[in-house]
Amino acid sequence: MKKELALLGLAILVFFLIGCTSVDEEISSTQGTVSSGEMPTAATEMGITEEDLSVSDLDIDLTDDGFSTELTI
Amino acid sequence: MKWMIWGLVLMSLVMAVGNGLSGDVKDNMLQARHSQMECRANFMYQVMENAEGFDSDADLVQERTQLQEQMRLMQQYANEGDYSSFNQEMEQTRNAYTTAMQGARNSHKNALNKSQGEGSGPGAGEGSEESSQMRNQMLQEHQEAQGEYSSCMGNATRSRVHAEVESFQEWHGKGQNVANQMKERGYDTSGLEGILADAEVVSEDLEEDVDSAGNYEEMNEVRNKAWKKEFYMWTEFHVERFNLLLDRMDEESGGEYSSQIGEVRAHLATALKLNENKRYDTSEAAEAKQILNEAAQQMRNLLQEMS
Repeated sequence: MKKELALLGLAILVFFLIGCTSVDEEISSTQGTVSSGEMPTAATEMGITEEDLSVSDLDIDLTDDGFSTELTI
Repeated sequence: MKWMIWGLVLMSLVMAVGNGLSGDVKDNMLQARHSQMECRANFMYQVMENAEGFDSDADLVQERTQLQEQMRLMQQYANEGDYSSFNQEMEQTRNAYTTAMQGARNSHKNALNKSQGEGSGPGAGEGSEESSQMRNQMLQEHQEAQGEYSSCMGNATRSRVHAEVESFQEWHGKGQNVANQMKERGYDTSGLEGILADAEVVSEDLEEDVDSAGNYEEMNEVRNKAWKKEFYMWTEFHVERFNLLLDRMDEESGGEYSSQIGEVRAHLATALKLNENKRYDTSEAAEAKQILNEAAQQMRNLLQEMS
């Protein structure tokens, strides 16, 4: 019985951890907002949110240069 | 009861794997970049070994140790998924690689000079011939090392591109969600959807081109072209999005702020003029992002004024 309860506890713990990590992330990397905070009332009335004004990143790196393989002797 | 509990444990483990605990898109890209770096390091170790084979006086211990230390750090950051530290360390690693190449080059030249020098005086012609033979052998060994490097880089670059496409698809999916949500809020998102569709074609073509490329240089070329195009289309997407919001602001304010809105539009338009080829490298993409953020702040200020 104790063994079964320990297994049940393990299963509950794993479910809990999955719940903590399975967060639907926002668009990746740095958010481009200059300042965040409460939106002006005009924005609320027009249905424009802070998220509308954020700029998502495209996480591609093109800077791996400078590794010449030439011997030049 | 026992079987039910075991079933729960098994199910939870399956869910854990399914939820991405086995790999993250960004980690895959980091691992692929690390694999490329390993190809470079292994190539350099071979080049140094070749140099030591020709020049018995060669002392490349410091160069080798420095490169090994950098590779240890790169491995650590790749394993930890520490993108920022990996990028920061890349410059030091490049320096260690370049220093090692210079050391190996000098050793090769020393060996050639010594064989040439042995040719002075009687039998000088034999020294020249020996030097010439040695040089040919050096170049042949170097070409062999380059061949292995090219093969290694081909596999690593292919992996990197596939990881990058995965990351792009994530961004694309979220972009599609943004467009859908804006459509539900009454915006005309045909422009956004057109950009997303074109961007998807570029990434699909990239995967095909990389898989059919003959060597890694060709892969790198198609890769750079495609991602530069995607950086431009990423800029187009955000400019289009902001212009839709500005349309809404203009309409809702009854044209009272049309002049200011026009100024924001003009500033946004500059984000699309950073390269006439409509392909942005990393620095142009960063500049575009700066312009977008400035336009966003202008819009916040305008909304404040309208309140």
